[in-house]
Amino acid sequence: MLENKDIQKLAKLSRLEISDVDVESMKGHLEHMLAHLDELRSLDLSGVEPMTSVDEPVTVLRADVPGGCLSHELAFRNAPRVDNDHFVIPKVIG
Amino acid sequence: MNPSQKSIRTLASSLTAGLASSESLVEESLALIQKTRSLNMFTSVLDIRARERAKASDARRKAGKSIGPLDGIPIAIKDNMCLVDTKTTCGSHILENFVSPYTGTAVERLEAAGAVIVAKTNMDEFAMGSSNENSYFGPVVNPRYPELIPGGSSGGSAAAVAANCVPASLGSDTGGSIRQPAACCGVVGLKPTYGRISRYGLVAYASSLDQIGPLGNTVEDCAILLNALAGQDPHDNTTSDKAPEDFCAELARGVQGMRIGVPKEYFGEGLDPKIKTALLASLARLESEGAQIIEVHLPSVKYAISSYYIIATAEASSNLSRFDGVRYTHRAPTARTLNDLYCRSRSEGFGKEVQRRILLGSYVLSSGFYDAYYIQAQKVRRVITDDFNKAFELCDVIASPTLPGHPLKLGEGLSDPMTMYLSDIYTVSLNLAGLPGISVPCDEVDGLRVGMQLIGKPFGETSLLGVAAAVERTAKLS
Repeated sequence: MLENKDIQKLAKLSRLEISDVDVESMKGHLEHMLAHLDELRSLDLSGVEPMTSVDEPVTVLRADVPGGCLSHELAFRNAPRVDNDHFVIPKVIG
Repeated sequence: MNPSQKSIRTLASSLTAGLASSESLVEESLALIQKTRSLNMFTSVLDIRARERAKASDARRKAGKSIGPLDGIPIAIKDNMCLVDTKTTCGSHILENFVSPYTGTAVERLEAAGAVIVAKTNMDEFAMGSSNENSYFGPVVNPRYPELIPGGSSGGSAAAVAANCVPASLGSDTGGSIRQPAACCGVVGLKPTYGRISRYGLVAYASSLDQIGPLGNTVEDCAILLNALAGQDPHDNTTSDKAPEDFCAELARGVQGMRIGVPKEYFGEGLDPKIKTALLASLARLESEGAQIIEVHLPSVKYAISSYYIIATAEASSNLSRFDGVRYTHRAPTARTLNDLYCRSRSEGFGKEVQRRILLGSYVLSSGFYDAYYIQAQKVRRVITDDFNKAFELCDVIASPTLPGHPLKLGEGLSDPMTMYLSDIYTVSLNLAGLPGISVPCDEVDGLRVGMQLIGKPFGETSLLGVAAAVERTAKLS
């Protein structure tokens, strides 16, 4: 069983702000999901290697040659606040 | 295919014969997009750009320098693919005003083949959904069956084809997001093998599962698009270095001698009996054309949904961490600290389903649960892949339903997301194993088209498309 504080902890880890109203519904959803996902926990897969990605294709690396990249102008175009080619964020050190 | 439906092949023939121009096709497409606005299928209409490119295509043709079957053909792309200087919203408030700084490889290849991109299609936010009801821009209406969901997450791409606005479109498929909406809207949708098409410029949902693919009114159109899209890309090191092939090569081959595997696990409990009857009748028609129908077993696919939702949400929780209110469009205006900025921008910017999946992903990756959920899911992924490998020792292609029943009614799955997740029960296992799959309308039940899913061996799209073409030829459609 999850508690409200578990949801708030997950929200903190996920950098999300969940309102008190939404915590209950999020908790209900997660419990419902976990009840389904728990079917995997009882499987004995001790000899099986985890599969992190599809076996094929083998990762192919490109030649280590410098190529084109985004200009500053393009890279900053979607930023909500920019100052002199820097992303602006709230003050971190007081 | 209904004769009134557009196909790339017929439009290309009209262009070659001088019966139409790209400009006239694009104008017709734009007019239909305008006429069907109430179906909410598109997030952007690229009319100015499309008209310019259509004009250029006509000039090429006039100069005898036409590029190929896609030259001058109007196409729509899902709004999670970057096209330079156009918006890529991913169906999300957080990217509502994001303008692509570059063009992704698949889209670039499409344009290099002469295709004219006329619009970007609505989708479930960040490709998370199976009904297209999770878009910030509102749900898409299914053009064929307006009371039913169009499927998702590439619902706009499937609907745009079904509504005849374009002959074909691009979608992306992480757990069924091309095949499932194709079945809901009664069109063809192909998810190629993992590694077949570059994802550079595709906004990532779950990187070990995501794949771009075509949707169209015909199997041939999907093959034509795959010819343009496939191949290695230095920008995506998961793309295969296998030599390109002609994916149209076996479309007329027929199924003589083909061994089609039928997994009993996919035709048992949970499948609507009338749909099962229709699928088996379609397989019987293939048998009468010379195919061998062979029973195969996939004993572990019953765990696919659980494995998929653990892996996909884990990867999503990591991939979506880049949307932080600093670099991409939406930023909470009142945040006073950096952490506050992250939390508020993300909570305001992401919809509920995206937040649910991020939380679940954080849970299965968190200390104490990582081994029990995430590693266990990856082990199940291996076992499911092994099941497919064994089945393919006995057959060339596997057949299954695409959906367990008819599409849900609009709003029906919103109160219980688990019901919605289970609609992907036949599609997610292919993404886990990296296999190609195609959904093709094969019959009608209760007046609704039924999709058959065909599953191929890794990089076996040419044979897969050949069998799909036979299903299409023998389909019983009004």
